[in-house]
Amino acid sequence: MKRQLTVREWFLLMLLLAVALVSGYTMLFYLPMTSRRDAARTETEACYAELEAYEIQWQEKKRMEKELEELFSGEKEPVGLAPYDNLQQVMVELNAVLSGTEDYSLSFGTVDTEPSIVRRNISLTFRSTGYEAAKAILAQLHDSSLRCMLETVNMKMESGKEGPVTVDASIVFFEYRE
Amino acid sequence: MSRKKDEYPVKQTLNLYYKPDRTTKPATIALYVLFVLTCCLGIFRFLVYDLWQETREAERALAAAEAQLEGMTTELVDYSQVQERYFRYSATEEEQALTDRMEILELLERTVGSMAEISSISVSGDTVQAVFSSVTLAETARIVSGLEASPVVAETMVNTASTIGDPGASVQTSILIRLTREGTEE
Repeated sequence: MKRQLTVREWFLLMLLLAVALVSGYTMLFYLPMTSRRDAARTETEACYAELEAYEIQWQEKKRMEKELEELFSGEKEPVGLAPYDNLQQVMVELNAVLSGTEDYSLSFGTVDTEPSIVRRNISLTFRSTGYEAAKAILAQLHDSSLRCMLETVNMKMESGKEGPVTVDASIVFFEYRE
Repeated sequence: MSRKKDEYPVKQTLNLYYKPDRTTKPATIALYVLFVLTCCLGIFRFLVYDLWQETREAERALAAAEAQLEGMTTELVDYSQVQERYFRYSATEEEQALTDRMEILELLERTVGSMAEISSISVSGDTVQAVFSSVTLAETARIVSGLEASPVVAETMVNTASTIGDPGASVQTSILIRLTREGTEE
């Protein structure tokens, strides 16, 4: 039997339809879409943060490349750091250089192994026949094929430039550790 | 039998405004449909299109960022090699900070050694202490001004100047030289 729906029934039916529509829209469209959008935004932010870090690294790389280019464009090729542990070569070098002195004494300090660059501190005292000879020895150490740096230099001339000279110096040999 | 006076309806006003019923006319229906369509379009725009557009924009931005990141990653693929090479060949922090010791010896030889007899040189950090003799006080002043003309020298201080034996003749002088940081003589 067919009967007409009452106003109340119509109202309830409409309400049900509205609830179904809102729920359907929210569950099937709004929530998936907003979650997709938010995920994309979060990922983009993460990407930009990473990109910022890479940007700094890229600038650092460019700076390093430029400096290296300048270093290698000079007349004298730069001396690279020897790989760690290069103590044997250091001793051979010191022996070769200091053999020209009257007497010498060496004191090997602690090895500072900061990441990548190793610093080998050596205190040396030697006695030479004259100022020029002492300076030549310091120059040989300074221009050594093993990268080093004269840190402190104390020269005492006993009787002028021609007389014996006592040199007390500290030298740092640099090495590279991967 | 009394007959009541017959009452007839009396028209007191004249309805001149005639309003035909147009509710079922095609034009009215079309207007309603247009109104409903406009409402639907508005709702669709705010609830569906804008959100979809925002999502599309966000995804497009993500794709652009990812492409940029990929490009940067390709650029940095040899970063560790460059860094290693840089560490091996560039000057270390100490080398950059300290003035070349041989350069200082050359400077002292040129300015002091040419006029005086140097008896001791002490170089540490950014200070140099030198003791020399066989010069007069006036010559010491010339030595000091010669030293100060060098770009590696920040300042020079005369610590002591004392005569050795003959007054008014040569003096033994002790000077302190403060070096400029990162300075190199040209």
